[in-house]
Amino acid sequence: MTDLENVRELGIDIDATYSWSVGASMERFVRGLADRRLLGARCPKCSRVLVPPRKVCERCFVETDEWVEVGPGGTVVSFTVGEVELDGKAGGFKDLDVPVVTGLIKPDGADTAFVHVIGEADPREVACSMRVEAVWADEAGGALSDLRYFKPL
Amino acid sequence: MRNVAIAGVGFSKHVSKRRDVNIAELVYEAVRPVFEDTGLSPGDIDACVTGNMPGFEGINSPELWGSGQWGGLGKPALRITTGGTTGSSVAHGAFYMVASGLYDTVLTLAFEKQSDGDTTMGLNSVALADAASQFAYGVEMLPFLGALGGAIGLFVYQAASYMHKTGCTIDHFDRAAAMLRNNAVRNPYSHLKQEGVTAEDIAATRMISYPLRYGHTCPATDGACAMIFTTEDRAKAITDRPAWIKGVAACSEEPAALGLFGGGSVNLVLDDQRSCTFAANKAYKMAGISDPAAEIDMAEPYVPFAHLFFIYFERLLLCGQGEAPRLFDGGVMGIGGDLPNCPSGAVMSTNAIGASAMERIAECALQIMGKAGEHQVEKEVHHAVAHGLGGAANFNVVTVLGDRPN
Repeated sequence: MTDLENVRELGIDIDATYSWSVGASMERFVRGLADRRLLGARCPKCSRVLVPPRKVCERCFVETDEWVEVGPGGTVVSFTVGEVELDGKAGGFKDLDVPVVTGLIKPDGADTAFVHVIGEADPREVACSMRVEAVWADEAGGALSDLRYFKPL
Repeated sequence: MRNVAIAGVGFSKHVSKRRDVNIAELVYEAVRPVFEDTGLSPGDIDACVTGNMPGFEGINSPELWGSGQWGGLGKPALRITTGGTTGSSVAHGAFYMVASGLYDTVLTLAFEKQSDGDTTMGLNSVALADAASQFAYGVEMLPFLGALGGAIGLFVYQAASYMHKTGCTIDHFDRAAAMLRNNAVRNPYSHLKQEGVTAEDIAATRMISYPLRYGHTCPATDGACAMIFTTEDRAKAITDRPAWIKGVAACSEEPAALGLFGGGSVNLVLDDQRSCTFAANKAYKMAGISDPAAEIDMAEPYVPFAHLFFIYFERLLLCGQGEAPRLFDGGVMGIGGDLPNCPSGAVMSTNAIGASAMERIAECALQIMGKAGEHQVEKEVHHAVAHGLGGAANFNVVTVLGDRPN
């Protein structure tokens, strides 16, 4: 039988750095975050407000052409409570000191939702349809993280 | 089997870095003109076939992210990636769908946004394992592999062997490169535009790895291409002059250089490219072409490096073996020549890799439709041959197009 302890391997270390363009629509969205504004793009045909915005309404296949401010209030469409994180070993977990609540948030005035952190919340009291509000970073850095989290109202 | 036509062609602009748009937005820039050109809307499309290089941008299943924004919402989406030949395989996938009767009208999308990607990860998807043994010997190939899209290391051996066999010289490569760069200036969809560049200019560029200079190589490009494949009835309703797919074939053979881990090659005739000739013969037969050198009016082989301009002209049976340099010297291959070769400016001028092989087919379609504009060849194009190259220089895809259905 083959000696499986002493097989020869050729090792290569690979470092990878990607630099994804967020795109024309998301650029505007992120700029809005720096001004503490949540921006959506309205479809001229079906009138849906897409947040985060897209250049093309997928249902109508027309370009979105109008920017509208949504939020800062929103509704929790769905949520989860994360209780563990990876411990760095293959397949291992360790308990989080503080569980992390994330939710699919539909901002007021938007017809879509996106995932974000729900902060200042007791995990036992988070529920679907709960009302939340955007909480902003003290200093805007022009990044997605300018929107820190949503907190229950 | 049903006749299949290309009824519309769309390109995005091709540049080195489109930092202002994301992948979905970039591809949309090729999709919009193809819908505008054909007068079709997403409701007329029955299925989408997409392709880009696996791993280059690090975004898996880009077709599932983008197809809604490309007119493919609620439709079958099939992604095909076969390395450098991805674009031609995408087109063949669409051909099979329509020819078989499974779908009537198919949208093909091929793209690459190289500026989003990581060179090493891109390499990983095409050549890293092949080159690994050479790293182990202490040969540092990464700088030139990385700078040039990850493939030159496969091709220098092939180029040197072709020169030895045929008497082709580096001067031929310089002059062919200059011609292709000037063709590219006339093509609105090309990337690298160097107006008035001469063979002397090319000859002055840095030798990267004998016998290929910097001026013999291709750029890394962001760009996308879209086409409409459809039935005879529908094509005739869309345009008076569609381009017809007359014959298709693909073939894989022994790797032409390097090989995995041991650095070996079973194939000792690196420029032979028997898989190309095999595929060409099959595609010509399917197209009813018995004498390609006489019946083909223009060729668009996959030429990322200058020596391939000569090799593939021969392997596509457009002249005898070893005759291409002499024919080039005689002026046959220019835009005004008897058998124009790469009027688009070739992959050497524009290489959004996943799109490149499909853009060879799109170029032939534009030439047949008479829509190539300033780089329209002077002779009338009744038959054209497009080619894609991939793998370890061992996979070849051939498409024969014509101005009449079978």
